[in-house]
Amino acid sequence: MITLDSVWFGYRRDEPIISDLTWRFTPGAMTAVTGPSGRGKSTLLYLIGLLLTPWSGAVRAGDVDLGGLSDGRKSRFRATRVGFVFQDAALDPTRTVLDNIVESHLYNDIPRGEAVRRARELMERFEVALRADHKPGEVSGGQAQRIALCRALLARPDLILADEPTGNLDVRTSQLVVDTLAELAGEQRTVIIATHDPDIVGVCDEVLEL
Amino acid sequence: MKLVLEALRSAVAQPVSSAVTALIVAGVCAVILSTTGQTVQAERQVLARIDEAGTRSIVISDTNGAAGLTTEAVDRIARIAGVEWVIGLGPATDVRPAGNPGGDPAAMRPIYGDLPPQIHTNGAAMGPGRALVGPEAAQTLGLELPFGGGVTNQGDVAIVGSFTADDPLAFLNRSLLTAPATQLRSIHILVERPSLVGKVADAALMVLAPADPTAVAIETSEALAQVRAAVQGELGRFGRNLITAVLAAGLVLTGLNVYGAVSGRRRDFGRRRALGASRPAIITLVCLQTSLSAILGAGIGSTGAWLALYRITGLPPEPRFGLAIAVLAVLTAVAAALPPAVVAAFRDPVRVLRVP
Repeated sequence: MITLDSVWFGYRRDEPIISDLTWRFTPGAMTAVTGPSGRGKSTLLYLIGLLLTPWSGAVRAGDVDLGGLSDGRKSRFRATRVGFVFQDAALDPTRTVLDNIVESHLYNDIPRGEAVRRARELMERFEVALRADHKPGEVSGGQAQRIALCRALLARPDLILADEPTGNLDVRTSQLVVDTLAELAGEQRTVIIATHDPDIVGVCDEVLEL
Repeated sequence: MKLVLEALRSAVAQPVSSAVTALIVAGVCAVILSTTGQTVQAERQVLARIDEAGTRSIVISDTNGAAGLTTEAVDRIARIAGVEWVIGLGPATDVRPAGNPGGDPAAMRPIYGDLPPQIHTNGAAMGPGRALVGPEAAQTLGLELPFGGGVTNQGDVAIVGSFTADDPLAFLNRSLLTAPATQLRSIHILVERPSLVGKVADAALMVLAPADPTAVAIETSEALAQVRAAVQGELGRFGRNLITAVLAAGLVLTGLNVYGAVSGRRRDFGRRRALGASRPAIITLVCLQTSLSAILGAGIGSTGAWLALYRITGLPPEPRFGLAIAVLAVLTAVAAALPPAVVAAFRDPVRVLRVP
């Protein structure tokens, strides 16, 4: 279980974006982090994903204060337990879709053969299998976001962090992504979505308003 | 292994940066091989010429017959560390052709010790009353073939073959050689390295322990050895300075190229960090990618320069030297990649991942 314990953070000294935030994310629940722009929705995801360290307070997994881990252990945590879905997909334009999806296997213990097998399964599930050998520049925005979702799920993480995952998608694809995230939450994963889309907020189990 | 393959894929995915790194390293190897490589070859040739002149020889002479040069001394000197060979030469005796006792004489010298590789013999072995004739002595005696008879004031001598001698014993070509020598007038020593000349000469003098030190004259090539060392030092220093300068230039150019490539890949490294790449993994990836391009460049540069020098000068540097330069160039490229790799690893991933 991921908990925030009186977390403070800001990018500039004396200008905190997140002030004294305490929250408990329920496993198996989909949580919407919402609020106006600039209130730290994405920042909170980066704090939970250990890409940022709080000024004070703690991000905990169970009883472990994740902020106190070494860079190597934080990286290991991200590689094995966290799936990031970025707002703009953040795919490598020089690699094929398949290579993009299996990239995270470089940083965990999944052999490439197994990673490719899982990637093909995920591509079937998200209807991008025909794009396996394409470059990201050759797919649509919706397909890119689904590819990013495939990549986030490759290591079967128990924590999904999605930053505006439907920001650039059409209604049908948005629905597909949201349904998938809800399905993942149903598999006892913790799903945290930063969004200001009221439709998404509406289907989430919990809402954290910043 | 995963990272090596990933580095290879990254190198292929960034062809411009990889090609520039390979070109820089190829250039470094080619420049060093075609400048310092040639200098090294020239140095070898100059040193070989100096060595031909006898930088390793020592000659101990008996100036008045009281120095006490003996065959036992030759045997003892042969056991001194660093001595390649040693021979003793006895007093010269005039030999005239048996068919023309009034003709020009040639000197005959008894020799003691194993014949060194600089003396090449042809015909029967030397022995009491049997001699081998050198090419100039054969001319003096009017011998068309290296066989015949000679007379000395101590009796007849049979000429049973010939020899030729190379430096530092080429002076023997004017003589006949016979064996065995009982009395010695000079001892000729060749040491293994020029730097040993002084030490071996001192040790040989201690072995001789002459009753009358003034009766012993010792000629060493120490001055020549010093010239040799000076030549080696100067040329070596020039070569080292040139290699250092070229490698330094390669270091800077490769470093700038890798830094440029890394700066253009901020999002790439940010994404990798978010996906779980540790800082050491990012550093390893950048260095491996650079090293793969560098290995390709070193292979092309070294081989190309070697083949070009072989065709143009016929004197390419030794392959070992080329390999050493290639390895040095690759290591330099990896060293150059290290600072940009560290910068990439420690850059804040959130700055590049955030979408405004």
